[in-house]
Amino acid sequence: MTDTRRVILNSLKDRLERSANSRKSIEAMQAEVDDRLADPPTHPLPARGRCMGEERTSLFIRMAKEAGAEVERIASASLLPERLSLLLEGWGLNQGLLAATDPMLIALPWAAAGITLRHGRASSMDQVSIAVAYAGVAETGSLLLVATPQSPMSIHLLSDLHVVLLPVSRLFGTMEEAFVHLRRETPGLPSASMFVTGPSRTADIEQQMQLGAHGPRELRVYIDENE
Amino acid sequence: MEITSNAFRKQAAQALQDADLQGALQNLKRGFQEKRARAVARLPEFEDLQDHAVAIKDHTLRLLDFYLERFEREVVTKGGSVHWCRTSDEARETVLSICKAADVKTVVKGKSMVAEEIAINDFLVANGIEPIETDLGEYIIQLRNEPPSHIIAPAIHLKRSQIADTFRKNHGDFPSDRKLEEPRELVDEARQIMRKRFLSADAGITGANLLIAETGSVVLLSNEGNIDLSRALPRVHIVIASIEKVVPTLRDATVILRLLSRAATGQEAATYTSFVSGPRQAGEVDGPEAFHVLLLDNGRSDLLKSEFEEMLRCIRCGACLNHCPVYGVTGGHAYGSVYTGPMGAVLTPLLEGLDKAAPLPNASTFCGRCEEVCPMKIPLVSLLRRLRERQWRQRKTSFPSRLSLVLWAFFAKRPAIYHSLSSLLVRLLRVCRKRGWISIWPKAGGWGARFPALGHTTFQAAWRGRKEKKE
Repeated sequence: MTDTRRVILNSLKDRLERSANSRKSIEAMQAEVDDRLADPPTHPLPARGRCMGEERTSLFIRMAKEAGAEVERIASASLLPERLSLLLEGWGLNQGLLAATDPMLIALPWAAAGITLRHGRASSMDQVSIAVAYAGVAETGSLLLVATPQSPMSIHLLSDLHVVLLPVSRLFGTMEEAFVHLRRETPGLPSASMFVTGPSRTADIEQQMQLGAHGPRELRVYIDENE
Repeated sequence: MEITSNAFRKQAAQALQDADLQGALQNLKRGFQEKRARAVARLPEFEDLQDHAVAIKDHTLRLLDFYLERFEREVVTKGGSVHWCRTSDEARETVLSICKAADVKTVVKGKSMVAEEIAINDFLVANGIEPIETDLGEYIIQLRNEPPSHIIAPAIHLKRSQIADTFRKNHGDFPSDRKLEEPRELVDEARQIMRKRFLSADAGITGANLLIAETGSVVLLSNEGNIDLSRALPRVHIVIASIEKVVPTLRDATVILRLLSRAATGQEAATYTSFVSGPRQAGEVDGPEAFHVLLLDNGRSDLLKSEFEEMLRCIRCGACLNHCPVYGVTGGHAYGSVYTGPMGAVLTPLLEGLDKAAPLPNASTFCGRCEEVCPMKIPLVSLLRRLRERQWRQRKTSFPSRLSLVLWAFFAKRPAIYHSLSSLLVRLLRVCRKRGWISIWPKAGGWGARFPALGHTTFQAAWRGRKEKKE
């Protein structure tokens, strides 16, 4: 295996005419790579994402809805259990949720709303799941969801209805901004960082869009305007 | 898959006679072309981003060995393994040895062109491992034992009734009198079946849309969520990526991602865009315990610094297929290869050898729409022309083409004869058209009926007439 590695790298070096280069210029190339990795050039960012405050929130809502998500603003996260209870009733689902063990979620008045929470990785029995977004991206109406011991990725993927709480302070203009924040906490990135834009979909049958292919059929985002 | 590109002529003729296929291909324009145009128009920075993306790729290819080594180091640091593979054969053996070592019996797969390129499914089956395609389109064609006919929409050639028949034949557990007519019903049935597969599979195999050297991340795009499920639930994740997928940093990746989803499906962003960086970390309750990345060359390094290097910029969006007048009537299967359409007509001869895909560089009208819509500005027409030139030099051009080119060159160098002969020909064609002889043109294999109406005069005569009018 290591042999194949050397063969491939050597053939690359041959094609790229490294052997003809002196040692010095190879060092210069390594320096060029290191410099670029340490300080990558900035590329154009769409003007659309460069907005703040209310403008940013309404852009996020518009784009997320366009992608098929349901979005609602709530004055405080404490209102969430009551809202969800009504929603579950409307869907004819039992009042149980698969939830990330996020302190922000645990603290909410679930019992008062008659909802019980379950934690851990998702199973095929979990119809509804809830998690907190690491960030929101207004440019595309996307949520950034990251893997942590408290919030396994399967939570976002196996349920029929996925509910995500997005604190308004976590709303950014672009993916790039969200990454800057994420890497301040986790420089090497979490084991999985997933941008989700709307519910799962497929157009594989006669190019007709159907929501709910393998992931959630519905994605509901609650923007907590207090956090 | 077995390459049958040399039978392009026959396969294309069959495709033209296939009413189901022709109906399905009608959807291309509505589905892909219009959505792409709208999405591009909504992003004023699109062209600027294209130039940056090209610069990123050119830079990375020039220093490819450095970036691949850096990528490898980062993956290993995070607890993953990197496997270098020269050929399809080596890649298949590597996947098998990973599966054997981890006692893998079933594999869920995310759609991957490289996995098709190395024909991993048949190989796994032959070795007692069951691969299950999880992308809906890919699952359908797996059941039908067909190759994909499109990069993004592998089952684009099928009508819903054909898909329903396939499901009835294969899904024995469902009541035989169930309703299976609407796309919704078909999607739901596949969803039900696939849940069990995701939850019970031992390993997930995916491709990679990009590799990021800086963080050792693998970027995975999907709309269905199947790729992320294939990654997150099984205990082993195997990524098969070709070496040209690497970009230096996250900031470079986002430039290409903005182009990719728009060019491919006209979406602002794919539904799921994941940056996977290593196996499950301490304390996490899902995600794979083992993370393997295969770096496959399979002929790509030979393209570096060659007259075909630009092809290595390709991000497999499928825009050139969607806009190609040839693909638009033949569909993908006629190309007889994994990669189809204009990008396939360039890449297949380069990866498989020109002798195995001789008709493909000629399966183009050189209209240039593929180049216009290519987000990575790959000069596809020039690359096709270079392949034709190579065929000419190797004396591999077919005798009729060679003869007509020699004849044309003879007349083109003698303007007087050329003019009188071409005006005679136009008059002759006019008569043919009036009498309806063109649609029954012998040996045109159905193309004749599609032949557009001809002009009344030669181009040069029309041009002269216009000039005189102006004066």
